[in-house]
Amino acid sequence: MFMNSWEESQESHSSSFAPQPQPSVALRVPATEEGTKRSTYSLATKALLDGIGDATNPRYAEQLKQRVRALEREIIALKNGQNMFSSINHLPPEILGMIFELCINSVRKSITTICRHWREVAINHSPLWSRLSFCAPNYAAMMLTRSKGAPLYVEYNDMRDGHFTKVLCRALDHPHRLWVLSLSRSDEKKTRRLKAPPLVPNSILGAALSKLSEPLPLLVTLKIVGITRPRDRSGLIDWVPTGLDDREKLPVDFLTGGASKLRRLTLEGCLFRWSNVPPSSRLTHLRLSVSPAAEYERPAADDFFRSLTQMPLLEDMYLAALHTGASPVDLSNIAYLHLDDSVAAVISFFGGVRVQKRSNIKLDCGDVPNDEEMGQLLGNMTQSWRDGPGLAVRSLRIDEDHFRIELLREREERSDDTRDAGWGTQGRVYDSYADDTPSGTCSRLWSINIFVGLDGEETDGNQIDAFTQSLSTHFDLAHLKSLQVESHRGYSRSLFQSTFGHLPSLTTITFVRGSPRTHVFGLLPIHATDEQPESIPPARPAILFPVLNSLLLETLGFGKGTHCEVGVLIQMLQQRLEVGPLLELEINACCHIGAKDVARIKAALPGVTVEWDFIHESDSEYL
Amino acid sequence: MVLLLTSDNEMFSVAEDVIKRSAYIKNMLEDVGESDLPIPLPNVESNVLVKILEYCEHYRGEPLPASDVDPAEIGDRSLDIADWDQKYMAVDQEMLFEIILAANYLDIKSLLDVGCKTVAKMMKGKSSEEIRTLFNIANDFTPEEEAQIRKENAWAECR
Repeated sequence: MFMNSWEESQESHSSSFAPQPQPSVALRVPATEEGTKRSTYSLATKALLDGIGDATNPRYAEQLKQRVRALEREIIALKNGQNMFSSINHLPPEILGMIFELCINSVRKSITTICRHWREVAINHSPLWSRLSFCAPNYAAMMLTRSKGAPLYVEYNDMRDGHFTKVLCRALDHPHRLWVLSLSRSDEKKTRRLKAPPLVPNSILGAALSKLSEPLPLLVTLKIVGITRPRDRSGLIDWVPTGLDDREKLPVDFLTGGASKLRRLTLEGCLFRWSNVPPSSRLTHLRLSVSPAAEYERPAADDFFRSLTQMPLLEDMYLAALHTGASPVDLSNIAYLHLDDSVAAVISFFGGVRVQKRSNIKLDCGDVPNDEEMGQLLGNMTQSWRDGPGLAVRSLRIDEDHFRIELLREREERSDDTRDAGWGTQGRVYDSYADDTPSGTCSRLWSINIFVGLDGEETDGNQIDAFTQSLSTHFDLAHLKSLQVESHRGYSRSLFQSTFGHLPSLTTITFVRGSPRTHVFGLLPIHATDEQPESIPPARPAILFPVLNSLLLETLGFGKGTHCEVGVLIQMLQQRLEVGPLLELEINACCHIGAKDVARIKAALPGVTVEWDFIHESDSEYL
Repeated sequence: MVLLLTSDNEMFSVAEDVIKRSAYIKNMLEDVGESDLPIPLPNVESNVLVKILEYCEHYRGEPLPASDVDPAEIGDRSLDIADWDQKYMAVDQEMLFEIILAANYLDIKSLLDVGCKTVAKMMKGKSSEEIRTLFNIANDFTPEEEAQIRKENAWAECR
């Protein structure tokens, strides 16, 4: 290839570089050494250099320029030939393309800048461009063009930014190519930064989404979250739909064209017609949520549960504010279930649904169940599991306006960022526990997280106190190993001590937020601080938290000048060491605790492992 | 046993369950049936076939990996490589690419995957110039092409 190019070059330039008239101004030509080298130059170059040039003659300057360009082209041709000797370039383009796919995220920009061969391979390898990047409209459009016929991965999380309307519509114009489609609202921070981006016009958005009524043969993941329009263009944050509106509904014939490969479906913050779903019997993940504020016609229970039976592979389901009742149905494959609804709806759900596997369950309710409701809920859940091995409550969260109960399988470690998983505002990792839960019981409590209202009112605190009192009615607390209390304003001291202070298995207590004064000093004395029950002789008061061996303090706000508070902590733990097996003290991200304080604690508590996670003073404002 | 004849005319006698990791050979054996004739491998030299057989022998009896790709993984696929595979792939570049070519020819998907991951890992986090140096590649763009590349890369910068 380069020979041709060189020969052509010779041919094309030989005539134009013929000897020229003697220049009137002598050119500065390097002497001897350059003269020797010149003998190795190409004929065309030598002709130009040897020829009689005139530095003031514009034609001569142009000839030089042309010659330089010609040589540059030749060099490029030579380098191009040279590159064919690089062993990586022996790989066929499809394999080189596969390699590019594997590292595209880290070398996206450079992959087309290495050499012409790589650029050609990359541009022609359509899968490299099929995951559209919505960084800039021009780039997204270029990617879409280069993606040719490859299955499209469209993840656009900024439905309020109209800069991408055109390319988005172009992408949705190929419904048969859609592999992943995820449309959601922008995050608050980005919206604020962009101030007032042009909005995706309703008509265009509607037209684009209407394409989703066509057959979607490749679609595997569909996620539509909060496509609703803000009511007030200046109110950029208000996304909660407040009423039924054409703009908030997905097209009536949405998904009617069929999506036989669909495995993950998420519809949140938008109104849809349930009768169109399920579009696929291969569905494994389903997340459905409508705003409780929306006057939405919920699907009839019979229809809804009948359609669930048509999803035999369904293993992960999240339903929020969707439930209208229950119909007897077996969900044989469910491994993760998250319900976010009223206590009544949750009780009703488990009245009909049988979950045969020992699933991980998370319940979020806007209200704390009363005693009777709690009994009913647990009864229905036990019934739901009647063929299973039983379950253990792993975590219980209560705050002033929210009740959450989590029933997790052993060593469950799903993280917050699990895609479409439907889990994880907590994301805590718990210790494993023995799998010896007796069949037919759901009342064995292993771990409790109690979140006492951070800004709670007195009445809410009373509600939590009432629930705490009822815990022992509904749960067998004898096996409780771990307790976490998160509170700003403290917890009822006597209630805490009477509920948890005498438990025989409670080895780990974690205090989060609040202050050491309200938490540790107030709740963890060796002996009850309030009036002793009559059954305990005053001469030998019972030890509280007798098997406590691990104390974790997280984000506690020690006061400035912590000397006294640290002193009290040490004194308290020393007393505990005399009566119990304290082995571990962990201090994580607590304000105003420094290396000196930690050294003092370590010195005063021999045999106790003291872990300390440093937090800089300047970060303390974030706690 | 299956006989394999390499491009440099070396004959290899290989156990059938070892070489059946190659979909190419497996299909050929199923199509042709038992035969005493060697299977010619005109695209594979003996030194490369030795490496390929080392791989097949190591994974003898293990199930073939599934090829179903989760869309959530596209572009973010893990470049994790098993310890043994990493050691296996610790060869010079020329051999590395020969292994990839042979894995492609013989249709051994798992080996092709490991080979591609190994190369991708070598490239990951490197600048254009570093990648050129790594693979002995010269920048052969014309100034006009470089201007176009600069323009595209400017688009790629997030607003």
